[in-house]
Amino acid sequence: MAAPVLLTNPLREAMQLERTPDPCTMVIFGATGDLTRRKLMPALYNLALEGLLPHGFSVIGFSRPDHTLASSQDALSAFRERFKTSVKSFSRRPIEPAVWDTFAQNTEWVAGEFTRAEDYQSLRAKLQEVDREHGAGGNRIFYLATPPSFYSEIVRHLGEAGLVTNRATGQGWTRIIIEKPFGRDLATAKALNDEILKVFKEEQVYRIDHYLGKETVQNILVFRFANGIFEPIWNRNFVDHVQITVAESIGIEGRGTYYEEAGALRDMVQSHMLQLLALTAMEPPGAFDAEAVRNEKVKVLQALRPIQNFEVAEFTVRGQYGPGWVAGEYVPGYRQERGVNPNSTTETYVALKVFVDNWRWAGVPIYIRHGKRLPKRVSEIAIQFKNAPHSPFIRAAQLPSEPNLLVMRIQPNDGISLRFAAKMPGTVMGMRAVNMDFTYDEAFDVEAPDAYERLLMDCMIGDSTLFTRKDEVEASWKFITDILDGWCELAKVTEVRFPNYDAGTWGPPAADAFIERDGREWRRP
Amino acid sequence: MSTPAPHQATWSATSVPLVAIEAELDRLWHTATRYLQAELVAAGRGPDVSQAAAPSSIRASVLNFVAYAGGSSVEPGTDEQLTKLADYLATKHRSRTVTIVAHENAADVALIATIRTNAQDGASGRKFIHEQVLISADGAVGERLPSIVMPLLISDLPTYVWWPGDPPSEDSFWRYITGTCRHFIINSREFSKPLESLSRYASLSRNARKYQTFGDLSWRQLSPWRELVARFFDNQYYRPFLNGVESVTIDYSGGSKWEMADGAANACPALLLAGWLSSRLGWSAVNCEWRDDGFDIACTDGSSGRDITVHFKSRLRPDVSSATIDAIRLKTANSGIQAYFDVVRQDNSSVARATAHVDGRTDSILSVRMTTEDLPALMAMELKFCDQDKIYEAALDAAGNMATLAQKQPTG
Repeated sequence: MAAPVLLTNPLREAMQLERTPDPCTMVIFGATGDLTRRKLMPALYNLALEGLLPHGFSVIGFSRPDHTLASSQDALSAFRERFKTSVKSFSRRPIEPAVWDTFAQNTEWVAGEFTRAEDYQSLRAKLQEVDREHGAGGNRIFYLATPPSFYSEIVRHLGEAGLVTNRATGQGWTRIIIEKPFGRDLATAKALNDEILKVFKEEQVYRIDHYLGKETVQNILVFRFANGIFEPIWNRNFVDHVQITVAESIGIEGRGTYYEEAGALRDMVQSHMLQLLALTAMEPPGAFDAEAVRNEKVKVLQALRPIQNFEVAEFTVRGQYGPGWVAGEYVPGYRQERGVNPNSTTETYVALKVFVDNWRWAGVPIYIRHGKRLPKRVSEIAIQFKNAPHSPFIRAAQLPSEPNLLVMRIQPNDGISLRFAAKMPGTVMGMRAVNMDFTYDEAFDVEAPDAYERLLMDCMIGDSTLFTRKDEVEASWKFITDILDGWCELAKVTEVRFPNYDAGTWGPPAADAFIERDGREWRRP
Repeated sequence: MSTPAPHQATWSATSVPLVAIEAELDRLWHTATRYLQAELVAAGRGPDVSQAAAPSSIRASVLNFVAYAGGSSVEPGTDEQLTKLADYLATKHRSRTVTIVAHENAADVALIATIRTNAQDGASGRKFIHEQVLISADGAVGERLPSIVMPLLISDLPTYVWWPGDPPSEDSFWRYITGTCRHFIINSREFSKPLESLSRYASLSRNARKYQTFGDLSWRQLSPWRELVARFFDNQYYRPFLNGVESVTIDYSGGSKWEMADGAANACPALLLAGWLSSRLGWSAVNCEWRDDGFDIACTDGSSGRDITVHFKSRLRPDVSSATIDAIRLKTANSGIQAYFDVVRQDNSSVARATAHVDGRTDSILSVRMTTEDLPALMAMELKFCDQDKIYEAALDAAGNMATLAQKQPTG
C-alpha cells in the first residue's frame, strides 16, 4: 500500500517547533526501574509542561506484576503515584496540578513478564484500547529500560505479537529505543543487532546515548561547522594533538555488580567518548540530518587505527583506584565497594593514544582518558595547536611557554576557551598566555532541557540524527574489542597490579609517563 | 560628582564631552573589578592560582540596548523602571544599556548623563558588570540626542531599541534612530491608542529598510496560543478542516487604562492573532462592523473567494493590567462535516485547554501551561531574536489592515 500524501500545515512555519510529533503511545519496559524513575518520567512530564507532547500521547508502563495489589486499577493507581513521585523528586520543574492531571489520565499500566508471550497479547489489547480512546493511530514507541539481558527476548516477543508495524502499511509507525550498553564486545553487539533487525528495520531503531542529547555536545557541530574560521586549521597541519577527558569524582555508586562486568573502557569509552571523538574529528556533513551526520561519524570510527595484541602496552594505560580523599572526604577503594570482587582486576581508569588514519588527522595523536574517583568532575575536548613556525622574538625567555589551546568544555562551566600569547605590559618584550573565555551561562542565561527530553522528542518526531546507527556501534565495538583482547593477552604474561592510583588523584603515575614519553603532558582541567 | 560604591557605582555630570563618559565607564569598571577581587580573596574563594589569568568578574557584551521614554509627558519613576529593566536584562543578555528619558516640555534645556556600573551574580557564580548610561534630556534637545547616543554604543554589536508606549508619528530621535538601528521593539498591549498605533507600526514595518527588524512583546506573548492552534492541524486527520474555516472568534480582555475610544479593551493582541491566521491562510480583510461587545472583520479567502468572519469579543476587566487573549475558537467544515477547534484559557488559571469537536464528538483534549510572562521576561525573550521575523511582519501587516478598517467604522 502506498504511503498517504501528507498535507503541510501552513500555521507551522517559523514556529518554535518546526516539526511536531504524530499522536503516539510510548510503552516503557522496565517501568519500575531506576532509569524510568530518574530520567524518563521527569523528561516526559517536562515535555508535557512545555506543551511539546502531541495530542493523543499516552504512556504505558510494562513491568512485572506487583502481587500485593488487588486489582489492575490498583496497579494503575500505584504506577501513576510512582510516576508523580518520580517527577516530584527528579524533575527540573515542579508539578503543575492542572497539567499533571491531564497528563496522568493518559498513563496506563500493563503487568507482565518480559519472557511470557501471553503478556504481550495483553499489551496488544491495551494498545488497541489506547488507540481507540486517544487516536494514536497505531503509532508506538517501545522503550527498553530493562537490563540488557532482556533486550533480545522483548524484541522477539514484540515481533511475534504483531506489535511492530511501519508507516507504509497504513497501520501507524513503530520505533524502539534501546539503552546502552549495546552489547559487551563486537560479537555480542553484532548478535544483538541481528536479533533486533530480524524484527525492526534499521530506521525504526533508536540506540540512545544520552551524551548526544547534551546541548554542549551538539554545540561541537555548531562550533565547527557554523563558523568559517576554525575548520581551515582543524587538521594535522595545525593541530599538535587532541585530549579528550571525561573525569568523574564519584565512584561506582552502588553499581558494583554491573561495573565488575563493564569496566571503564566498556562503560564510558565505547559509547560516550568515541562519540565525542567522532564529532571532533568528522568531516563536515552535507546537511544536519540523520544519514549525513552519521555517515561522517562512522567514517571516523572506521578509520581508528586498531590497537591489537601487545600494542596495548604502548597505546593504553589502565588503572583502578584505591582508597583516598575526594573533596575532603575519605572514600574506599574500588575493591572495597559493595558488589566488587576483593581481588578485582576491573579497570576504573583508562587512557588511550588513538590515531585516526585519514588525510585530515594522519599522525595527530588523540589522547583519551576517563577515570572514576579523580579529583573533579570534568568533561572536555582540548585541541592543542602547533607552535608558530617561526618566532621573531629570538630570546628564549620571551617565548610563550604554552602553545595555542582551544578547549570545548562539556561540563561543568560549559563553554569554549582559547589560549593565546599576549605581550605583558612593560618596556621589554615579555609575553604570557592568556585565556579568551566563553561560557554558556554568561552568554545565555537559560535553562537547557535535559538530554532525555531532547532525545525522546527526536524519537517521536522520527529524527535519529542524535542516535547511534548499527555500523557506528559495530565500528566502535571493533576498536574496543581489540583492546579488551589485547589486555587479556597481556595479562597472561604480565601481572595486573591494582589498585594503582589513590582516589582523588589524576590516575596512575603510568598515565603521566605514557604521555610524557611523547613530549606532552595531560591537561589539569 | 562621583559616588564610588562596592557593587554599584554612579557618576553623574552635566554637559561633559563624550570621551569623559567613556573614560568614566572604564574607571568605574576597574573600581568594581578590584573590589570584587578583594572580596573573593577575603572570602577565601580566589583567585584560583591555576587560573590566575582569568578575571573574577566579566565585562562581556552581546548587544547594545537603547531604551527611550519621551513624549509630552513622562510618568514619574520612568527612569527607575527602565534602570530596573536594564539590570534584569543584563542578567539574561550581557549588554551596554543607554537609557534616555526625554522631558520635552521642560522649560530649561539640560542634558544630564549618569553612569552606573552594577556588579551582578552570574549563573556560574562569577560576577559580571553591567554598564548603564542614563541620559536625562530636558527641553527641546531631540536633535542633539542621536549624536550623543550613537558614539556610546559598543561597535559591531546588534543594537535593540525599546520604545515603550505608542510609536510616534513625528519625533526627531525616533526618525534618526529608525534610520540607524536595526531592531525595534514595542509592546502593542500597552498602546494608549491601540488601533491608530498598530496601524502606524504596521506602516513603519512595511516601509522599513531591508535589514531593519520589528518586534512586539505582544507577539511573543501569543506564541503559546499560536502553537496550540497550529498543533491541531499537524494532525493529518484535522488538517483538511484548515481549508474550510468559516469563522474565528477571539475573546480578549484588558483593563481600563488602555481602553479604546469605544470602550473596548486593547485589541492589539487579538488583532495580531487574527492577522497571523489571515496571513498564513491567505485571507484579506475587507470590512469591519462594530457591535456592543467588540467588532467583526469580514475577510475573503484569496484562493477560493470564501467569506470568513473574525469576531473580536472584548471584555473590560479591572483586574487585568494589560490586554490578554482568553480564547480562540475556529469553526470549520470539510466535506459536510462540521468541526470546532477551541483553545480556551481556564478561568483564573495559567492553563489553557485545547479541544477539537468533530462531527459532534469531542476528539482530543490537551491542557498546556500558558506562560504569562511579565515585561522583563518577554523583553529578554525578544532580545534572543536578531533576524527578521517574516511571520510576525506578515501578521502585523494583516493586523494593521484590520486596525485601519476598525478605525474607520467605530460605532458611536
